[in-house]
This record gives sequence, structure tokens and C-alpha cells, in this order.
Amino acid sequence: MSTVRYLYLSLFVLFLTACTKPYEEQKVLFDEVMLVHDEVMPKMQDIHELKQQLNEKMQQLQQDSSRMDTAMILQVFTKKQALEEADHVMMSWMREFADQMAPPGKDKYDGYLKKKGISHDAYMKFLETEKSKVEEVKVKMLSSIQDAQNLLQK
Amino acid sequence: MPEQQVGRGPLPILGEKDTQVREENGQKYVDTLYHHIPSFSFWDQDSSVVTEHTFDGKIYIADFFFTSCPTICPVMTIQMHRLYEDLRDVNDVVLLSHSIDPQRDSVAHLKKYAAKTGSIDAQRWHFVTGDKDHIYEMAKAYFENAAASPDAPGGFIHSGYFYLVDKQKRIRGLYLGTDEKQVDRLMKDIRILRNE
Repeated sequence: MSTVRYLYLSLFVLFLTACTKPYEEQKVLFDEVMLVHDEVMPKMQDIHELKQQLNEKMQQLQQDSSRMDTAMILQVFTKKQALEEADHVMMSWMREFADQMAPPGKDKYDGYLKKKGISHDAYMKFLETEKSKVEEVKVKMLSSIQDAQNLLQK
Repeated sequence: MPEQQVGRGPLPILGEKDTQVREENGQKYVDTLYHHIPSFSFWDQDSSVVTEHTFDGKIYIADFFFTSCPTICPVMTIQMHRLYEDLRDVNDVVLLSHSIDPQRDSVAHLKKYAAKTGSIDAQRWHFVTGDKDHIYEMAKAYFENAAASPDAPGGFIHSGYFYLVDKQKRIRGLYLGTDEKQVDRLMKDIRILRNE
């Protein structure tokens, strides 16, 4: 009797694991993507502020007509462009990701993948790709911020 | 806890205070100047121009979001919608949600987003877009006036705060828009503010 009960119980547990495992796996990976996102999203504000500072610097440089420091002007210009590019890639990445990701909350989430005919493996692959994409965005953001800061400190 | 809430005094006025000495008939008076929200100009989902004067004689709740934000914004929108429902019969309190992604969040896109959120009356809940630098400046103005430190974790762009603004355009409270309990407190504070 108890063996049968154990058998049922273990079958039930097995059934549960089979059901929740893909979601859990996807959730772990999704959270990893979001961790990178949450780390760099507040830095959009640094990008904005550095852009303002570079604008001011540019104005100062252009006002000083006695000696036109064209090399410096070009530096300021390229650093500002790099910041704009970083801002742009971050926003674009978020737009694309938000359009394709499954909505949060398990019920909606499963329904979404089923409706779209996306398999567990395909969704895991998608998340892996997004993780490397957001890592690239992060590098772009951090380096453009660092470069602009270095220039402004000169 | 409910008793404490009943006994809550007037809401604080957030931000830096400044004093100004004024002379009138040989008498000196010291005026306290409170920080207030600077002027602005945006468009809402109905293509109407929204400025600080849109909120003259009104209390409003402001936040910053964008429609393709994957994490906190959907939660913030749900909480804003709760406020919207809670304020259904109140005519002097309105909502103002600024998009920080004006490139994607055009007037048309915000209109769609508002429709998806519910049947939203633009007079009571403005979703606004405009010049990106202007939006960032406003986000900074709200945040720096309200928060104790501008270096607070997360900064102003990804903070998820709701700001309660009184009829004199002064910030009277800030609440995490992702935290249902803080939004409950905001609902109570709106009542306190309306009775001032």
C-alpha cells in the first residue's frame, strides 16, 4: 500500500518538476538579462549629463576665437557622438527585447509562448542571445561614459 | 497603524528651502521660498499641449516611464491605473506620465498604450512626450527636489517614483510606484492634501 502511495507521490513530483522546470530555467536566464539591464539603465542619466557637459565645453571652445583648438573640438564632438550612439543602442535593445519577451507572471507567460509556438529551447536560445546583446550594450555605454569623463577632466 | 494614519499631520514640503528678506513700510519680513516644479511643455496622447498651467488649481501625480521598458514600468502603470480608478470621482486630482523614450513614444504610440491600459480619459491621465533633453531635465527637477540625495541608488531615470505635487507646484511626497503599499499611502496622502 505504502509502496503504491510512494509511487504515486514520486510520479506526481516528477510531473510537477517536468512542468515547472522549463519556466524556472527560463526565469534564471531572464533574471540574468535583467541584472545587466538594471545595472546600466540608471547610467542613461550619466550619459545625458555628460552630453550636457560636453555641449558646454564645446560652446566654451568655440567662443575662444583667439586660438581655435580644432583637435579638442573634434575630441568633444566624437565623445558626444559615442554617448549618443550608446544611448541609442540601449534604447533600441530595450524596444526589441520588450517586443519579443514573454510577459512576466507565469500564467500569461506560458500562454504567450504556446500561442507564438515558441519551444523551450528556442526561448532559451533567444534569452542567451539577448544576454550577449545587452552585455555588448553595457560595454558601449560604460566605455563612452569613461571616455567622456576622461576628456572632461583634462 | 490606522490610528497613526488618522493622526498624521500635514504633509511636508519637499526640496530645498530658501529665504528672502522683503522690506515693506520700513518693516522687514522674511519669506520662505519653497522649491517648485519649473515650467514645461509637452504633448499628450490627444496631441494637446500640456504645460504647468494645465495643472493650475489641481493636485497631480507625476511619474517617468516608457512603453518598451521591460521591468519596472509595467508594474508602475498598473499602480497608476489603480490611482486612476481610485480618483474616478475626484475632479481636482490628475495624473501625468512622462515618457523618457520620445523617439518611440510618439503621440500615436502613447495613444495606443493608453487604450491598452484601459479606457483612459486624457483629461485625467496625460501620457506625455516631447524633447528628450527637456524630459530628462524635468525628471531631474522632480527627483532632486524630492529626494534627500541626488545620488540615491538608481538615480532619477530608473527610480520608479510617483511624485505628489500640490496646487502650488510643490512636491509633497514621493512613493515607489512599484510598491503597492506605498501607493496605498499615496492614496491617503492625496486625501490629506485635498483637505488642506
